[in-house]
Amino acid sequence: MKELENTELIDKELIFLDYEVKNKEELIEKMVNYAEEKGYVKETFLDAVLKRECVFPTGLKGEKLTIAIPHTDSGHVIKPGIFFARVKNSVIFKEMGLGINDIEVKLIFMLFIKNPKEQINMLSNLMKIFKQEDRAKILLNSANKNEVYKTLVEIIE
Amino acid sequence: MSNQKRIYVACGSGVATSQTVASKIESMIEDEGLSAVVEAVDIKSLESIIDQCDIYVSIVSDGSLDIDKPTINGLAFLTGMGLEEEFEKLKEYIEE
Repeated sequence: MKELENTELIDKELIFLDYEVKNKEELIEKMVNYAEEKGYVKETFLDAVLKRECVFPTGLKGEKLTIAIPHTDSGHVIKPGIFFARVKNSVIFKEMGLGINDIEVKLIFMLFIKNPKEQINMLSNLMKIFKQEDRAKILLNSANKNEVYKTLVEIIE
Repeated sequence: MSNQKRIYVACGSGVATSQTVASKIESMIEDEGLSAVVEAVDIKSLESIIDQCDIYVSIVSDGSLDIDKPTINGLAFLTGMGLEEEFEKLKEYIEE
């Protein structure tokens, strides 16, 4: 079986810029509904990812950047991918770890993990964003979807 | 001497974050010329295997679990926040 290239996980159809939502729940629901339409996840994904976010929140705080990486068990995933959304107004996620701190997040990377063993690099590459200020700036500010796409590919490859 | 320390990294499902942190720790301790067994586990199964572990790397919290092992903060290995400090602690535990 051919191993999936990390960059194949990025797709222009899975990039939302300046998405307007009221809160985290609405954001997750809209993203998941869209992903379900596009054939990435099963209908069980929404419930699973919302529940998991309550028990094991996925907000992450670096020195200069906060992100969230909502995800859930691979059994709810049909096709692997990374769904990137930038929201217009920050939404509140709980920080991973103790799950006590609220953090404001503008960049959300929803992970569709199908084969955990193959996708370890994907997440560790994604974490490099905390050290790549220039790329983080593009993800935070660019209105150009192609540029955002290119930047995501560079981060993840 | 095969007295390797066992390091467990636990997250909610044992698929994404714990695997990522485990592989990061593996490569960091290897770079230091140290050796240990690093395993990513599901927090639900942690309680039954915690006795076999020497060092626990925590990513998520489960209030009901009382872990009586040297513990380090795994988030540092994801985000880089406080990484050096946590890694120093880890090295000390490994060398103990």
